[in-house]
This record gives sequence, structure tokens and C-alpha cells, in this order.
Amino acid sequence: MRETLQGKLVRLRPVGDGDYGYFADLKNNMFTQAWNQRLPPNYTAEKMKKRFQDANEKPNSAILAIETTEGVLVGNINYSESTPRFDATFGIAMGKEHWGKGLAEEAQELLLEFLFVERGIQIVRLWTQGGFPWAEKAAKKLGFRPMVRFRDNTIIDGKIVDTIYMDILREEYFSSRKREDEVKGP
Amino acid sequence: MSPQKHPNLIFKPLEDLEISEVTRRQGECPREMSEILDNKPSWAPLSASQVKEKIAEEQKKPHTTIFAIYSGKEFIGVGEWSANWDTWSPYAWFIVWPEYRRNGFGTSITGTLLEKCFLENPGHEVTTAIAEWNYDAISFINHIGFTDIGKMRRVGMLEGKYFDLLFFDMLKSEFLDRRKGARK
Repeated sequence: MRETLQGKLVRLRPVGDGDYGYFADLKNNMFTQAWNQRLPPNYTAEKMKKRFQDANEKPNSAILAIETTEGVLVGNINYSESTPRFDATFGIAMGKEHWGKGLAEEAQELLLEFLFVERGIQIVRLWTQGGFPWAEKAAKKLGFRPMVRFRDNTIIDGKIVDTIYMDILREEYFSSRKREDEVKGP
Repeated sequence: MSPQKHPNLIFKPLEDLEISEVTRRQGECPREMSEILDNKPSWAPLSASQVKEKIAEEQKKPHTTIFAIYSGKEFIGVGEWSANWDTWSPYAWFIVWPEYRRNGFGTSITGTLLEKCFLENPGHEVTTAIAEWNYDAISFINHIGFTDIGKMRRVGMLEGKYFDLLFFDMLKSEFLDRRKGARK
């Protein structure tokens, strides 16, 4: 059993007051701000704090900071259970300067393990869009399958692109990680 | 899509009379009404005041309307149209009460809602979702020219098994092509 959500490269921890400035920067950056449609880049640390505190009020959901094992803040990751202990949707935002180092992959792997192994979730969902092909590729690497493609659903970088819904079932998670699952569904 | 078979369709605000009918219909179409009212569990119907509150809450969303559907003086169903999330890709649903089905009302209602999406709103794509157990609705949506774009797996349980939510969409260009075809 894992004691905390810490891997070889990153740990997931509660968000602190000093994190919000960096999270506002992520929200104001076109590469890291949102999955579907552009938001006004007017986020401040204060606005992020309010947003995160509101989101953390929701039961069975969390926003966690991602920091390296050396203590460098690199992004945030969140999940929300729509039906408790049944399904969860998750999302991640990481500073572009930290991409390509395996940090996002490990952060998501830690959260997936928490959801499937500790929470007993049956399915994890995520949303992305066709303007960020790397996001779909990264999700596939984690075992997510593209299940719905909402055609020409949004605009990114002056182009009309699809919105993409992906999910991974509990049994797909366990078989792809070659782990035994003692919790069977119906 | 063929021209409207029912030109006397009217969309009206839901007043107390319609709300009490919607409340009653939960007993007749429990699964469909549970989906529409976002009420879980589906076997526990809402009271009239709860239905009213749900509808009022939904109606607070900008660019959203929930309406009673009349054919002349007959109250035949309810529906919602919303561009709350995005005017570019609005969504809509409706239910026609069982005794009025298979009369072409669904086609007429869909035609009107698509016009609202694409001709009276800057919509580019409209989306709808149907639970996989709703065979009649799936057959209907395929018949009127929506495209099957995939499914969200395991959205709920029915008779001991998980069920999926199927998604369908239509682009404005497809809507305009169909209208052109229907007028020929």
C-alpha cells in the first residue's frame, strides 16, 4: 500500500497559498489554460485561490499540487467523482517548461492508482480536444481510449477542431498494469 | 429532414398545470424522466415542488429554455434547448408522451430545435445524448440524420448491468444540405 501520493519524480500534495500565482500563470497560458474553449487570460493568484477553494468544497473531489521530489512546483491535477465510488473525471495542467520529462505521466499514474486501487472507481474519464494532439497521445499512453469525438466542436489557434472524450475502465487499468483486481464489478 | 408535418406545434413556458403533468409522467416513463430531470435514483420520483425547483434551477442558466410542447391544445411533451456551455455547440433534448409517439411530432420538434440552433443562434454543431436502453430514441435520431459519434461507457446501472450513453451530432452544413434536399 502506498503511504502518500509520491512517485520517483513527483509527489501530489495539498495546494498551499504560495502556489496560486503559478496556477494563475498556467490559467493565462493558451497551452495550459483549459481543455475545450479559451478563457479570458485575467486570472490572478486571488482569483485562482477562490476557484480552487470552491472546487475543493465539492465532496469526493480534489485539486492537488504537483511538485518534483526536489520540491519544485510544476502544475496541478484534479479529479471529481460524479457518482461517488463509481466514476471520476480528471484533468491536469503543467507548466510547458516541465513537459517531456515524464512528470505529467507519473502524476496521472499516481492519481489513477489512487482512484482505481484506493477509491474502487469503475471508470475514469477525461476530456481533451483536437488542437492539442499531444494530450490525446499522452492519454492513450496511460490506457485511455478515445470514445466520443464531437465533430468541429471548438476553436483553437484559429482552427475548428474536435472535442474528444476518453475513458478507461477498471478492468482495462488493471490488465494494462498487470495487476490483480480483487474488486469485481457486477 | 422532411418539411414539418405539424405546423401547429407551440413551445410554451411550463406553468403549474404542465409541471403537475410532468410530475405524473414520472410514473409512466420513469427512466426517461429520471434522465431528463437528472434525478437519481430513477425509482424515486420527485414531488411537484421538487420538479418545479429543478426546472427553475436549470432555467437560471443563460441561453437556456425549458418548455412545454403543445400541438394545438394538446400538451404532448417537454423539451430543453441550451447554448449555456457554448453558443457554437448547443444541446437539446425533448420527450413526447407515449400516446403521441409515432405521429411525426418528433421530426417536427427536431426540425424546429435545429432551426433554433443554426438559424437563430450562431451554432456550428448540435449534440444530443441517449442512454443505450432507449432503442426508440436511438432509432429516431439515426432516422433523422444525426451522426453516431461514440459513447460514454458506464454511466449507470440497469438490471444488474452497466449501461452506456450514446452521443450523436449534426453539423450546420449537414442541416443546411438536408433542408436544401427537402425543398427540392
